[in-house]
Amino acid sequence: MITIRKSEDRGHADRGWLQSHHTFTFGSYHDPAFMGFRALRVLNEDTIAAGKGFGPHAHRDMEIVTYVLEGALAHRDSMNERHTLGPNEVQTMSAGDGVVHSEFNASETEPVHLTQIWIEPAVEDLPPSYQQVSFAPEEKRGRLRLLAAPHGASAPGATLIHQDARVFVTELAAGQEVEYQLDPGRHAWAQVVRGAIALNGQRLSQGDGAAVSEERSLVISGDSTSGDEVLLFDLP
Amino acid sequence: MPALVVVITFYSRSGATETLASSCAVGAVQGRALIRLRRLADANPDQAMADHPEHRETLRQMFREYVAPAEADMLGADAIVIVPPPGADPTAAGWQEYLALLARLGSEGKLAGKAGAVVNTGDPQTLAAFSRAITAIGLAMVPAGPLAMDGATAQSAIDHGRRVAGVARALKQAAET
Repeated sequence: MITIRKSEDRGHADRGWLQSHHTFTFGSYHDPAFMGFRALRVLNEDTIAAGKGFGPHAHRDMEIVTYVLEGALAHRDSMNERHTLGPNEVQTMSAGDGVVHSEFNASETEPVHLTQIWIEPAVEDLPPSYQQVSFAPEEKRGRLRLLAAPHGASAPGATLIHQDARVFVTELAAGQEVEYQLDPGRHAWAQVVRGAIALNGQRLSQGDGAAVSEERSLVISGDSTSGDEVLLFDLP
Repeated sequence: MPALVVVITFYSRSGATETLASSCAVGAVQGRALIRLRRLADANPDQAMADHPEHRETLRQMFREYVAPAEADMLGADAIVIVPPPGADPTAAGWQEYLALLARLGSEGKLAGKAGAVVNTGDPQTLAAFSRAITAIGLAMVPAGPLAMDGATAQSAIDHGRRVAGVARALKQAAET
């Protein structure tokens, strides 16, 4: 069963310097029908104006995965981590029992466009941690590139999350396909972050998402000419 | 019970006191509180950068990332924590205005039942002076724990933040029963 969440049905916040689209309940956007999907709690598409960002704020017990589409995001936190995140990188911050961080557009001239993902951890009160991994663009072209996975997963080059979930990205040319097999009892979420795709024949445009349950095989095919990019979540 | 809110106000130029304030915030989060981190504003940010060129980039970053404490922050807080840099003077400009705001709110009964704390940043005289000011305002003082005996460390600030959250929660629960 595939249930599509259309882009235009998402929550939207306009703070001037921030344009944010919320697939699930977040901040002042609340929809009891969309509180998350399985362990996936937050899926936001943010565009942050040049030089602007989120001042120091705290998180607890959440796996926060950030994926930049265009631009660069400056991060610093209470673990003394200071990094800049760009395209073809993934950042995972495990908030654990408490972390304070800020996120700002690293550019004074260009906006940054990103997707931020919150996944509920399987265990609370862990020590906080920060990871950032870069990869070559070729690693996601025409195949699923693993961005985040739990301990024990065969996942070199992926960030660690404390949940039995996996996050992939793929970039597809028009007509190009990737296939993914879901184990019995597993669920998936697909989120189109660029272009358009077909998921088992159902068309999804940029910003659209799809909840997948009781399916074993997922076929994702590129459906535009501009380089389609999709995040795929394999969820318990 | 509504969420517990801890407001932490600091002043920092080099980033050292900011680190302790952030650590205190982490402790409060460990104590399951929401936090608001506020930096006392410089009267003249450009002058501050000109006077301390060695901290120019750190100052620029803090000017960008933090807002100054406001009355609404204090009214919404269950605990008010001050993190003064070593050598700070409660009667100096900036701190004096901030403490006067707290004193006025205290005299109006608007800080009743709230906890207060001053984080040790390495100078006993600074700690003592600000602790006296907080006590005079009428906040329920939360002293640092034994870890602070080892000096001003991130871990002692975390521990202090956690203790503040615990005391503030107990005060809030007592007020609601």
